[in-house]
Amino acid sequence: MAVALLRQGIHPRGGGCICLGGDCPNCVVEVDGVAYVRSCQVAARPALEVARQTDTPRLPDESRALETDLRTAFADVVVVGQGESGLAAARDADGTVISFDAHRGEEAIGLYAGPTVVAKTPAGMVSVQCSRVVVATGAAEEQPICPGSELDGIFTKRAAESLRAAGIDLGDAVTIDEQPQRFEGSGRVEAVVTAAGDRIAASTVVVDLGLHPRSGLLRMGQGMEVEVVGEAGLTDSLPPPPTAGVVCPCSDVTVSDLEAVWDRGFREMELLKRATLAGTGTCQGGVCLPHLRSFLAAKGVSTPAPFTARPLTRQATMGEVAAGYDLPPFRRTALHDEHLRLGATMDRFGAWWRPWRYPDPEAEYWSVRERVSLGDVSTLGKMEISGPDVVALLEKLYPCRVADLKDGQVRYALLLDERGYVLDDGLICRLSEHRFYLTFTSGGASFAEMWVRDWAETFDLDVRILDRTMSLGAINVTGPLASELLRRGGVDSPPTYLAHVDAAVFGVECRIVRLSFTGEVSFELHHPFSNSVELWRRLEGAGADLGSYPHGLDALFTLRLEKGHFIVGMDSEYDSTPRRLGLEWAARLSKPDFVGKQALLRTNRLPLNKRLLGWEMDGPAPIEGAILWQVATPVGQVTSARYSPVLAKTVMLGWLRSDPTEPEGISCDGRPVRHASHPFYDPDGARARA
Amino acid sequence: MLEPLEATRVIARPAALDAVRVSPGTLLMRLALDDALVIGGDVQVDDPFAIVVPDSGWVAWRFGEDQLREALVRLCAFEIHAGLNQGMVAGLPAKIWIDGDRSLVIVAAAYAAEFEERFR
Repeated sequence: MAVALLRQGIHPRGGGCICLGGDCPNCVVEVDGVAYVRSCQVAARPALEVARQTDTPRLPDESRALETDLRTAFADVVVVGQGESGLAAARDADGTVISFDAHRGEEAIGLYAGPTVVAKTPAGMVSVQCSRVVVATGAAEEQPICPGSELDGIFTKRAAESLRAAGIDLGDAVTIDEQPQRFEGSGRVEAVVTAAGDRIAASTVVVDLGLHPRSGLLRMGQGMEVEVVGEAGLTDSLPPPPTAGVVCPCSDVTVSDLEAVWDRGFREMELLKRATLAGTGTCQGGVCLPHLRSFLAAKGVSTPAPFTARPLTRQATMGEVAAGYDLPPFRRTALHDEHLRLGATMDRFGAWWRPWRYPDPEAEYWSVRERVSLGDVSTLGKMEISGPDVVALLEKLYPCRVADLKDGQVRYALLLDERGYVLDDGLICRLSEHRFYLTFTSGGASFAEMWVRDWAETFDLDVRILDRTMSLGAINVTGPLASELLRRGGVDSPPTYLAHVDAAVFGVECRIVRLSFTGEVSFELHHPFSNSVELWRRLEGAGADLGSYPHGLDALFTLRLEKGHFIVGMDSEYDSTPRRLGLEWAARLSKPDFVGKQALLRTNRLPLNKRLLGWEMDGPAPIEGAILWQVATPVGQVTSARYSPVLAKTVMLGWLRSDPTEPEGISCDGRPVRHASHPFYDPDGARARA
Repeated sequence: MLEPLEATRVIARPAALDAVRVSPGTLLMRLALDDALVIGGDVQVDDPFAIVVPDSGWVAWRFGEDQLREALVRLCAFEIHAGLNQGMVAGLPAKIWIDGDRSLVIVAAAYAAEFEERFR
């Protein structure tokens, strides 16, 4: 494209020495809305829209969204550059070889540990994982640094040869082989004043100033299996120190700028680069690096090394940078389409799509409190664990007692880290002497397996561990009529509170776990993923005359808050101990040992400077995160706040950070707040145990 | 494109899994030293503490090997070889089994919709 433009008498950028080697910024243009395209590296094609590069390029509009593919490839050797030495390296290499040739529009723009070579190609981005990289990128021609170097009509020797070979008449060209004092002219060069002071009139000046290795990829690959061949491995000799003019045409940095930052104390290569931005532009030091080194050398810096090279060596579009990147996936429970069928508004929580609300929010709430409701809790973490050492492991893992659990019993448990901070909570269900079923929060599920495995290995305990989170669905049947609905499903003896049984519900084999997060009778039916839809529909149909209506997360958050149940990560903070959460009973310090015990023994002796407390207030709920004030002093914040339909007041959980004898005189949102013991609803738990 | 996969998951001592016995025609994928996914047959493992459970939490895409390679090569961040491959395909955790006409891609059923969207 650059040749095509020059043939028309158009300098791509308006002026500046043209190299046609991809080493300078002097031919950059906007092509089809993409900024900073080196026109010397792009084939001219009909219908391309080419515009002069501006200082403030616009982002492409949506119609030009540049989505780019990424192809991952594998090879023993990658050869970057297909000149004479690159071709020879590719020919002689052992094993599979992938080559990139800038002349074919294939530019290696990054070298990462592995090594992995990332390249832009006409077919999209390519990422090659390989064993060895051969850098055969050749050498760049030195650019003139002097006043007037921004004029049109200046070409490097190789560029001049290419243009002449393309049939372009360069007119009365003169060739110089030393950095000149200056170029003269207005718009286009009219004369050059040589280093010796001779003024030579010419409309074209060809500069033959020497070569500098294109070392960007080589420097990027330090410590990797990278070999250099050909001109890219040339010993780099420094040019004479620049005395005037633009050193970095990308960032428009002059010799005066370098002098100024030197005087301010920026006397190393990396500092010079950061202080002036020289080397940070389009050509990434292709033009200025030798001259920056020469500048420093002249100041007495011994053998100044090139600045650090990092990907990318070339400009890339957002589409190219994003190529191959996939957004983190969100999981769908087996009941996803059922929720949509029922008109649910779905939202993302943790790693899952979950029903936030169904069309009748009041029915969601009251069906739980007064009748029966279904909730999709398939997202809960679920794990099966067995082995001769399983009790020993769980005793160490959990702060509660485990060994005394009988088959069929369930226990609520916290999970602590070594600092005694609450990581997660869930249930321990004993299946048999050496086999347990554990549950975790939806958010903690992905972490749980790693945590359990890590401690099993640390203690060298003999256990088998299977994460069943994505293999099992779970439906919560909750409400005063939950037992009746189960009976209709064929379960004559539903488990008692904090117990579990394996039984068929409407013909679907389930592990029925009884607990209560909502404050009402609740049965979690854990079942095979493939049976979820069938089970849901049978429960839905059989519960219709009982007034069954499903509930989503929004209703669940109100229901659980009325019971004062905290949610890990929503109400707890990273340093929440059982004591701070008011859950001292959940950590049996009389146990011989468990993860976090030593930390609890120590921190329990310290003043209690923050507590999660229950609060209530009249009127609507404040936003979660609202500040709790004591007169004019902020003393904490609300973590959960909901207006309770059944209690006809707002109930909240919130941290109190000061340690007054009584948390009195607290306000929030300009209204008085009363400390209240929780559970707010059914404090004796009679309804859940019914 | 994706079909439900009824499988059996076997978690057992590595030595016991090394000696696992399966009925003829069964496909056994060794996911890890202590972990195997068994498709289409019976399995017997000599470990009294083994966890052997039906596992319907997967979906599979069945293909001939050539078709599979062609379809997946652009989406895989790893090199596909014969036998079991595990890694990210289009940003999703997946298993690829390469074995002639019995080749298949397996993803967790919870990712099925996302996988199909990304594969289009």
